[in-house]
Amino acid sequence: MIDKRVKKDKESKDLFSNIEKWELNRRRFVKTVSITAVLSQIAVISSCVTKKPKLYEANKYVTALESEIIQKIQDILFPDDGNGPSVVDINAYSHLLWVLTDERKDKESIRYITKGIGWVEETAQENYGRTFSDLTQIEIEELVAFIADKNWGAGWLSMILTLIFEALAMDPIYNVNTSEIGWQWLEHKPGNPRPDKDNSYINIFNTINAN
Amino acid sequence: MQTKKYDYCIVGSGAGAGPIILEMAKAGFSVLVLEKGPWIKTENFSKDELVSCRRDVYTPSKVDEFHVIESQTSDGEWQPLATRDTNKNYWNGSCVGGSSNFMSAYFHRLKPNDFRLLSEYGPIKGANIVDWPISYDDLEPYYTKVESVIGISGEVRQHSTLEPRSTPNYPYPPLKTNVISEWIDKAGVEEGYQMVNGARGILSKTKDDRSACYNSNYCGSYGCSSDAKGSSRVALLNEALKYDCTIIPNAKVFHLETDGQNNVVKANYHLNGEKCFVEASTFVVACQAIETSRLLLNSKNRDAPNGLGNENNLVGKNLVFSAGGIGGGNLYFEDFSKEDAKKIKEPGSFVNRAIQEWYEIKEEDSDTKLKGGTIDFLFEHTNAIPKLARQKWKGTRLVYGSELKKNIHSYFTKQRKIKFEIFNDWLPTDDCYVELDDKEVDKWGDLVAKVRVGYHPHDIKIAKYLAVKGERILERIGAKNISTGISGEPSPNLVVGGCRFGENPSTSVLDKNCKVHSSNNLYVTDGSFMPTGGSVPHTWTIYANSFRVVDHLLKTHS
Repeated sequence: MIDKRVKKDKESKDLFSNIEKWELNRRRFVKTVSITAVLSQIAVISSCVTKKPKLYEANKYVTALESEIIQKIQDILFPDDGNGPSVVDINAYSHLLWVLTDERKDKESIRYITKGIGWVEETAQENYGRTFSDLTQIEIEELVAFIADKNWGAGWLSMILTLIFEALAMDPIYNVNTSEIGWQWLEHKPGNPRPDKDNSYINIFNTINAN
Repeated sequence: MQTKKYDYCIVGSGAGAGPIILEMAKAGFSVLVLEKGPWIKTENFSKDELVSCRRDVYTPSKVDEFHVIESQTSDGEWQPLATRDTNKNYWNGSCVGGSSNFMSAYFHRLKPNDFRLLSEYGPIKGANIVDWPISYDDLEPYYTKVESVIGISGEVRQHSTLEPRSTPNYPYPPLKTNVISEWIDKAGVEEGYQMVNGARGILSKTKDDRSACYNSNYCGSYGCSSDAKGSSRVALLNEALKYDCTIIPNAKVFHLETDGQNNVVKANYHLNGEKCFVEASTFVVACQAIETSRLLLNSKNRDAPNGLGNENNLVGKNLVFSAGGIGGGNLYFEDFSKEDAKKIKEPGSFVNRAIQEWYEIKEEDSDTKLKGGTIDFLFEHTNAIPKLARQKWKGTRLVYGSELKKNIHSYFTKQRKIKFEIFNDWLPTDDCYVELDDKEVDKWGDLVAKVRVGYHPHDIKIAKYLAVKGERILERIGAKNISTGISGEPSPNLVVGGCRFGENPSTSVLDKNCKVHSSNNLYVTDGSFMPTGGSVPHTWTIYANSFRVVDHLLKTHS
């Protein structure tokens, strides 16, 4: 198990000096890995996930374990520490689930997100001999620090962070940035006009095609 | 699907196409426009970061349509990578009006020395520098025409490299600027030169059906909701529709057919899953430099086995981007009075200042002069997500948790970033060109463009020289953490060349009126014609040249 982990890190580090090459190789790497059973359950739909999923429950997009991994890691990356909104406040988990179904988002990125969840569980097993669900909060924090120190892990966590940023700063029409809580914290003024229903991402293609 | 034979068939509808479309329709000719992208109307535009930037709705899906980009690795190998598999995007707005819908509209004219780069500055080893077959004087009336027709705002100030003008000032007064513009002016005076009050292709006052700029806070990369931005769509195409002009959106031209006697007779295109064609007397191609070369190369046939206009293997060659880089620094509010900090924070206002003091550089202790460039000052784009994303790395360390939140909050609330962009010549070389990929195809099965993006080291030398000057201004206005990034990485939104014009058919694709030398009725009027790109953004020149070609067409075809 340990050998496998070392190999995974070595593969990334050797190539990291050339970001474009690294990008290509990472994608090739992702391509070679079989897609998880969970991913195959993801229906390709174009509508937004509007209902807030229950805590750590399986849904049509992820298993209960994957749900727990995502939400606990989001909370560590962007904690509820009294400084600004939490990931729950901005609906970051629902946003990530919606991205998994986004037809416009490139499929390799979606596979990368899903695959990374598997890597986290794999690393939990390797480091602690237990499933992620059985780790204490301190152990999870150690695990994230461990992952963040690896090139493969930092890249994956970075992508999860980007999706948190989207939930923090996108228009609330997308059921994120609830009541503009992100904009208010950042004292951010959005552009004008803001999207309405017809011109939002969900409907813009139909709107344009009707012209 | 063919309805009638048109006088003009125009492929593309952006800045290079718009003047031809409007003026030929106005002159009584029947005009058909085939535009690959959809027709997005003004009311469909909003300042939605997800639509405009995060998911690039205004450009094609990179799974369906992509480019293959050949960059040089550190060991000197040329490595081809499909943009489908990378985070790069070489589309710039694929819709009616083209990328002019989304431009920032920093408008500068070329200067007389740009037309005589070889004569003025001599050859540079490894660069295919030539003089233009026309002079600044030939283009000046059309620059002036663009000012009034497209609508350019600004204030002409005397400065050391101001180009000759036939009118004293722009037809529209300057847009609303931030207090920082005054400080930059002052810094320029302290340094001993005058700042350029940067012109913008954006209306500061109402013009016909177009409203003045309302300072939306999100400008570049976003469609304009007041029609103040001088896109081809609002400034030209909307009026053209009053005449005998038809625009077909989602029509992707894949092949131009010839009759064996140097005439293009048909444009074949894909529409709604069908292959269609149209006949016309004259064809004009203006799909932006890379796609124009691609179409000519994909149009090979028995008479033109290497592609249209490609008898001398010049189509796609000498592609040029804009060389330069970006610098910036932080204006920390705590360093200024409360009143000034409030003014700096003001959303929506522009900077609109540039330096062209070093458009020509005289080397110290020598008579040697070099072509320099332009430094444009601007604020960091105000849309939020890129600003957030830039906070998550400290070197190669991922920042997260409370440290990240603290950094983010501080970045958004305690400072504003002032930047400058450097524009200098991307010298044409044998390592920057468009060809067809030998196997990769788009969703219609047409070979995609493969673009080699090599640069000349001289470009970096000039950009670095200018960067020092830009940094000096930022220091003087109180910016901190000043840094500049100069590289040979191309800007995909600033690309011209590939079908250079010239007098000699053996060294150029187009004649000086932008007609393909070897064709009787095929013209190219986007930025492809430019043998060198100048040291400014290209849009104004593309508009002006297209109006110049209009006069030639009217003389020829009346």
